Amino acid sequence: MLACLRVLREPGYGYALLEQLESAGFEVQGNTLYPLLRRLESQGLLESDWNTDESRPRKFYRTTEQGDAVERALRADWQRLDDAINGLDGRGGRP
Amino acid sequence: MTSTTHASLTDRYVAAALHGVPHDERGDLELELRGSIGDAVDARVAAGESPAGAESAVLSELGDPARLADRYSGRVRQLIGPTVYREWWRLLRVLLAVVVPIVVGIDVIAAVLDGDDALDVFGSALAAAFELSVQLCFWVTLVFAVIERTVPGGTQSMDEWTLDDLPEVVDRRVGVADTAFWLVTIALTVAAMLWQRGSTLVTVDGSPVAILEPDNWSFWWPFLIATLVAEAVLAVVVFRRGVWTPALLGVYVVLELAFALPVLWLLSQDRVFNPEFTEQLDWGSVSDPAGLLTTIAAVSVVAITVWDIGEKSVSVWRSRGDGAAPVLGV
Repeated sequence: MLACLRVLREPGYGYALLEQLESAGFEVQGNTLYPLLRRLESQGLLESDWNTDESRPRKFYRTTEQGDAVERALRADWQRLDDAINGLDGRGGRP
Repeated sequence: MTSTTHASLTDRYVAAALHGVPHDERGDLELELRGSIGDAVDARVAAGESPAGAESAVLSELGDPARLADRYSGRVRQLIGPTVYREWWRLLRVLLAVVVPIVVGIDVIAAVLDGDDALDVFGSALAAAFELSVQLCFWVTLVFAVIERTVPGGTQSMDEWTLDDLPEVVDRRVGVADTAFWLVTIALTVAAMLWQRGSTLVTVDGSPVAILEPDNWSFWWPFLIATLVAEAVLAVVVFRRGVWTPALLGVYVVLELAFALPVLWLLSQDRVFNPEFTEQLDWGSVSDPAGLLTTIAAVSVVAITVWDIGEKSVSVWRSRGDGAAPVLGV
């Protein structure tokens, strides 16, 4: 979810996002990602637009300001957790 | 997707996945889902797969459309979820333990006062208990299932936990079921004593004959009923404490003996059964049915009393032997 909000600062659509995340090393499946995108949209963290320029109409999602804020907060949390775990390694590693 | 058969595979998948999604979202969702499937198929075809193989691979990867539909609609796939489970279980237990004995007890007393037949009373009590339990379970569960689906912010538990909710440290070895059974037994015994006065098991000239000696209503029968009522009070006290203590056991033994010893003494004096009743007994080859009945009654009273006291003593012994439960004197 964090990754979605991050990547979608540049507008993107479902399948492209899936590939992007996979190549970035996230193990995510369509049946998880597609519903997630809609849920984030309904929560106001993403906004969407239909792009009908190409042969296949695609729904492009984009992170909203609110989504951006949530992403920053989550990342700060994540960072804290990561630091805490690393701190454990540093101290608890030695007998 | 040029082939119609394969297009229909996607059609079928999309239709199944949209099932249960609100109508106003369907058009949008269908277009998006088809787009995503199409993109994935195209990517596989571009990588050298056959269109048919690519399509079935993509759809298999998406998995069960019903589960996808659940994820899209955020539907609750459980009757009672963890957010309301504790409240549901707590309420259900209290209602079953309190309401069923009370209503069935009232039912029995009313039937006894009407002078109904013993079998009828017992049968209707069983039926009432069963029906009431089923009704309680159904309605409570229905209400909670509705709450789970309608209350906003349903991810939070209904009542916020506070320190006051910490349970007292009582080792609940005396359960609701034991106590309910005990109380019901007492209620049925008292009901039977009252009911037999007008029973029509035996009649003389069409008028009912009491089974128990009517003369004892001046003292002994009310006294025995009083010991039973005292035992019911004790049952509630023990339940509230959660464990049997030696002091409670002492009270219990006194009450049991206060019931059993007078009954045995009355039996030995042939003063338990109504002579008019025993005279009417005809057990075929049994020469002295009244004597046999007395013997059976005496043996039963001794056996039940010994068993009851033994069982409760084991409870006390267990709650002390464990050492974990803080067993304090009364």
